[in-house]
This record gives sequence, C-alpha cells and structure tokens, in this order.
Amino acid sequence: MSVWKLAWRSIWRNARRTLVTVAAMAFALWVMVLYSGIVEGYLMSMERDVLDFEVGELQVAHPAYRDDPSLYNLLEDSDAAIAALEAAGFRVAPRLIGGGLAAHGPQSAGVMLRGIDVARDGATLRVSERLAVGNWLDPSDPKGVVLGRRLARTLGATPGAELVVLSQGTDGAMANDLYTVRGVLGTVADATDRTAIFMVEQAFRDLMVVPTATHMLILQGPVGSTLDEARASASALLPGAEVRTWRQLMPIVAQMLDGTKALIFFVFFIVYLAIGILVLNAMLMAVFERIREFGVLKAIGASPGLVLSMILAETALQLALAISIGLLLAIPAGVYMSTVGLNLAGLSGTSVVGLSLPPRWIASFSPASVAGPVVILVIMVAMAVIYPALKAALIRPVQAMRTH
Amino acid sequence: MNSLQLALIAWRNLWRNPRRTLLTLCAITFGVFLAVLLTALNDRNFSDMIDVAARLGGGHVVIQHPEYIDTPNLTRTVSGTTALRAAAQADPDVSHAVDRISGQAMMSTASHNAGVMFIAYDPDNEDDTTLSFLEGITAGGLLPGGGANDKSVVLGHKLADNLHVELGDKVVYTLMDRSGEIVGGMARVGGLVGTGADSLDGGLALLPIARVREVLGYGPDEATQVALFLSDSRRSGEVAQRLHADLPPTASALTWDTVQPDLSGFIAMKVGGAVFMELVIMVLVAASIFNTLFVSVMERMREFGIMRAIGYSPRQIFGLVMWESLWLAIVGLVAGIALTAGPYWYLAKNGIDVSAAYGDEALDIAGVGFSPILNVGIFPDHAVIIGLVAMAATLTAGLYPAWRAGRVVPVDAIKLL
Repeated sequence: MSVWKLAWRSIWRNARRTLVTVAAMAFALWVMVLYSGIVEGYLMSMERDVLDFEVGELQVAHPAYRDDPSLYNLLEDSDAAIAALEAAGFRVAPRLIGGGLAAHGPQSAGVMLRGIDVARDGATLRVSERLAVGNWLDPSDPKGVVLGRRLARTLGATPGAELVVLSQGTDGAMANDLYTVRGVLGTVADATDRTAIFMVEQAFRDLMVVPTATHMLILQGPVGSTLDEARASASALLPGAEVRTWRQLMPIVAQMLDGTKALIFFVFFIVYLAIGILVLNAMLMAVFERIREFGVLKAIGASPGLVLSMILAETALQLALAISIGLLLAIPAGVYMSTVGLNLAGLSGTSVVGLSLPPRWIASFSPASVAGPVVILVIMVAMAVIYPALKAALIRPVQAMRTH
Repeated sequence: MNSLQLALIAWRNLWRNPRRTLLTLCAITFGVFLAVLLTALNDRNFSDMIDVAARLGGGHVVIQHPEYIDTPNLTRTVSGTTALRAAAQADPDVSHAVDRISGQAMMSTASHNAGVMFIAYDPDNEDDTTLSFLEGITAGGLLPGGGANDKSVVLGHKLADNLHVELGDKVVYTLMDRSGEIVGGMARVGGLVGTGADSLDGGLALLPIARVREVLGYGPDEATQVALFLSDSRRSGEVAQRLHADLPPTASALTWDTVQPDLSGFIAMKVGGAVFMELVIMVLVAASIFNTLFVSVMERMREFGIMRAIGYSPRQIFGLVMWESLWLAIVGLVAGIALTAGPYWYLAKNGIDVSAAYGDEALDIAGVGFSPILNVGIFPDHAVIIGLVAMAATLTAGLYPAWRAGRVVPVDAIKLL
C-alpha cells in the first residue's frame, strides 16, 4: 500500500481531531487571505489617491519652489516644456498655486488657490471624479470655483454661494475678486480637503497677475516606463527645472506603503504561530497513540525514512485539505470584499499621513496576496511537524512495543 | 467525594502526560502574551495620541458655542469664560481650564502672504502641558504679562521661511470680525515653532489672546473656546455631561471625539482591528485546547467507565474534566503573565522605535503627530478582561469533552481495550 493511502486512512482513524486541526488551519488561512486582500486594497487605494488625485507620478517645478513655494518662483517657458513632454509621451497638467483668504458671509478661511488647465488636468488627474455636489470647472465660466470638502464646511458654502477671495498679486497690490462656488469635492487628501480652491487658469492669472509661466507641472509618465525612467527622461527634457517623483514628494506615504507590506508578514507569522502549536500538539498525539504500531512496523523492517514520510504525508494531506477549504471559502467572501467592501462611511474624513481614508474599503486580490498566506502557512506547519515526525522515525522498536 | 479532591485528581491527571499539557499551556500562554502586549500598545499609544491631540487643540473637553462645531468662525463665541473656567475647575477630574480663540487668518508681509490657522492663548495661564506647541518653540516666544500690549506672534518655522521673515520682522494678519468686516493686526515675529508636521510648521501662528480680543472687538471674558484638560481622557464623556447641564444655551460642552471625529474614527478602526486579531488568535488557541482535551478524554474512556462503576456520578466526571481545563486556564494565565512581564516592563520603559519603518519624519494621523517610539501601558480593566476571556475560552473548549466523559456508559467503556 502506498504511503499516501496509508496516511489518508490514518488521519481518519481519529476523525474529530483531524477535523478540528483542518478547520483551524482553514479558518486561519481564510482570515489571512481576506486580511491580506483588504490591506492590499487599502495600499492600492492609497497609492491611487497619490498618483491620480493629489500628486501625480512626477512633479516639475522651479528648483527653488520646493523650499520656497512663493508666487514668484515660476517655471519659465512652461509652454515649451509642456510641448516637449507631451511629445515624449507624458501626460502633463500645469498648475498655478497661491495662498489667500476666502470669505463667504461672516466665515473666512485661509486657502490655497489652484489654477488649472481644465482639459489637461482632466487627462492627467481624476480630481473631478471626486466631486460630491455641483459641477466641475468649466473654462467658459471663469468665475466659477470648486472647493475642498472641509473648506466648504468651514465657510458654510454650497454650490451657488458667492465667495470673496483676497490675496496679494505679483504686482504687490491687494488682489480681490468675487467668485461663485460651482461644486464641492468629496474627500481627496488632507491638504486638498482643508484648503483647496480650484479655479480655471485664466481666473488665477487675472487675480494674481501672473500673465505667463506656471508654478508646477504634474506628470504621468509614458505608458510602460518605470518611475525612475520617467524621471530621467523628464529631467533630460527640462534641464533648468527640478523633477521629483511622488516617492520623493511624499516620503512618509512611500515608506508607509513599504512598511505595511512588511507588517502583513509579521501578522501572518503571529497567527500561524498559534496554528503551529496546534499542529505540533495534534501530530504529537497522533504519533504517541500509535507508538506501539510504529514499533511493530519498524520491527518488521520499515525504515525510519518510511515512518517519517508517513507522518509527513499525514500532515501534508491535512494541510492540503485545509488549503482547499480555506481558499474555497475565501472565494465568496473575497468577491464580497472586492465588490461591496467594508463600509467606512463612519470614518469619512479621517486621514492617515495626509491621505483621506476612502468611504468604502474595497479589497484587492492578486496572485501574490493569496500565495503569501498559503506559503507561510505551509512553512509554519512544516516546521511544527519536524519534531513529531522525527520522534516517530527514530523510535526503538523494542521500547515502543512495550509502551501501552 | 468533594470537589477539592476532584481538583486534586484533575491536577494529577494533567501531569500524566506532561508534554501534551505543556504544549497546551504554550498555546494559552502565547495567546495571553500577544493579547496583553497588543492591547497595552494600543491603550498607551492611543491615550497618548488623544492627549497630544488635546494639547494641540481644544483639550479633552471643550466648551464652545453650539454652532461652532458646524461653522467654526469668529462670530460664534462664548462669554463669561472666567465663570465657566471656575465652574469647570471645581470638577475633580479637570486639571486645567484655559481660554482660546482659534480661527483662520491671512498672514502677509510686503511681498508674501499665506493662509494660516491661528491659536490665541493667554501666555500667563498656559505652558506646554496645555498647549503642546509651546514645547516646540525654537526661538523666542510670547511674553508673559504682556497683555494687550504684547504685539508679538509665534510662527511655524516653515511659515516664517515662506514669508521670508525673521525674528523681529513685521507681519500683518488679516481676519474677519464678527460683523464680517475685514480687520487687520500688526505683529512682530517674537518666536518660531517647529512641530515636525509639515502642515503645521507651514501654517500655524500663535498669538496673545488679549491682543486678539482687542483686534476682534471681543469682550475681556469672551473666547471661541474654553479648553478643559483632564488627568484621564477616558473620563471626557462624564465630565462633558456633568458640565453641560449647567451651561447657558449659548454654550455646549463637547468631548474630544465629537470635535475630532477623524481621530476618534482612526482610533476606533485600529482598536477594532486589534480586537479582531485577538479574537482570531483566541479561536485558534481554543481549538488547540479542545483538541488536546478531547483526545485525552477519549483515551481515558475506560478509566471514566470504571469511575462510574465504583460510584462517581456523571456530574462528578464532568466536573473532573472541567477542573482539568480550569487548571490549564489558571496555569496558562500565570505562565502568560510571567512571560509577558519582562517584555512588558522593557517596552514600558524603553519602547520600540518604529521610525525605521516610516522614515525619520514625524507621522501624522488625522492631523496629529504620532511618535515613532511605541510604548506600552495597559488599562487595568483591559488586563482583567483579557484574563477573563482567556479563562472563558479555555473552559468553553472543555465543555464538550467534559460532557462526553460524563455521559460514559460504564459497561461499554470497560469492555474497551
């Protein structure tokens, strides 16, 4: 009889213990697969927020702008730069940025004005998709502006509200003008939510007296190029400007994304440690109950290798059963989590390292996010079974047969 | 046969198979160890975070105009703050009470400007125990005793860089008074502050409250908030409720979690995640205990049959196995506590530095800086809950094996070999 057949029969001699062991492993695997999918979904949405809604893959600015984001540190020849970048396959969105005070009735708040090229911005970022109420900017309505969520709340402004914006133009004179709120965004990121006023490029130029040039270009690299390649080619095209990747611009977010991936493995390890103890105990019991049997087996000529492979086969069968059940059960739960997701509406507006949590937490599964929990489970169980398997393999027949 | 003897037999039974018992104890110990450390990490860090958030803003409990929370602007004030503070100070849980005016302003120089969040406080009445920014002051500061004549301002150091000003330079702050008129105040940069959080270093101004009252035309007893600080943030709810009853309709007492729902949401999410993890571990540990107890019962069926035959009642046999699981729970707990004590003591004293995972810069969550050194400190009631849950899980795992043992039919069992 083959080792596998023997092992299969052996594990069902104590069906309840096998079922409990398999159920525990399957349950742990199920939880861990879903957990890693949820974390991966969270990381992806965080990265997507950075790339598509807030920062872009790369940003180009005057070399002094990062340390001194003043109205005067302009990127000259921005039209030529945009043309060169677009010819190289980049998507480019120019942005004009300036501080000021906005007031609606008796309410006022410090704001960051963002003058955007509506068509280019829409092709590069997806901020307009986060509109909660009202309409996005329209170049034919230069006095229409869109506010960040918290800013709108602070000002008590809704679409249709009149807004006074006060600032200081590049000519040094007081700049002020009247605008109408076209729309209010949902959560995007902390800075946008609290302070952003989006306006069309021309309105910004008129208010702040910036006839040409721009403060920043937001870039998405050519399709298929890595972040570093895109940065290198953009730098080559724009010798006088500073090109930074989102990882350089938001180092904490980048570190957090990497750090969290490491953290998942730590959690796997902890949970599976409990599984390891359980398997160790179960297999030890399985070995000691049959110690006489193993003694007889060896007495009639079975090699230590055969006994060892029997114990390993028993564990492998239980493990395979647990993995099939765990993964099978993870399918419906995973489909639910990746379509409906966890409802986090109660947390709306909570931000972590400047990025807002999404209102609905959608899990994302990849071969890696499923393979991770499976592989680590296999490793932990394999480690747990070493001792019982060796114990059985190294039994001395005479002593074993004396045991009751 | 009394239960004491049962307990003794159960204890001896456990040690008939020391290896199996030790492994089961390992599982319990490991579960307790993990639950205690995880909970202690959360308890300590989240109560630290709440305290930091309180010192950054409106305290653990804030008295403010009922509409300020929805439309925070400078027209929504509370008056009679001296009396309010005195009343709050009379509450035994309140350690400090201070007046604040906070809002938005534009800070400008001849050539630059920036939107800022300002906090106006009384330098005579506050230090870094109530306003954490004060410990980040790198140069100068507001003058105590200056009153309305103190025309200085403390700026975030990045804000000062962006405005191109240094200590002693003039800046103008523009804000809107209660009638919607734009008013301005002139100030000299009297100090710089660094918090580590970019958004604050680039957008924070601290002003003397007496001077801001004058600029805004407030009365001497008027402020946008009265911030209260407690010795234990967990009492915020009770304190707010007690105070709220005696407040006039133009003022309301709110807890930090109402004022900062984003922070309390974050904490609730993290605590929820940790409790879920602890429950998963508990189920796995309980499965492990069930497995061992059940096997050990099935092995001894003959023995239980003989016990029944010589006069033990099913209830006594059930009790015997339950005693075994109780012993496991007790020893497991004691071992868990013994094993946890060392690492706990170390972490409580030194903490773990997680800055390697997040870089050198300060983490900010919901706008609150988060220390990269993680310390532990468990709330006593949480420790008790963990102990009780571990006990309950072990005893629950023992129920079915014990029931099976008690149900043994003597003749059938003795026939077993």
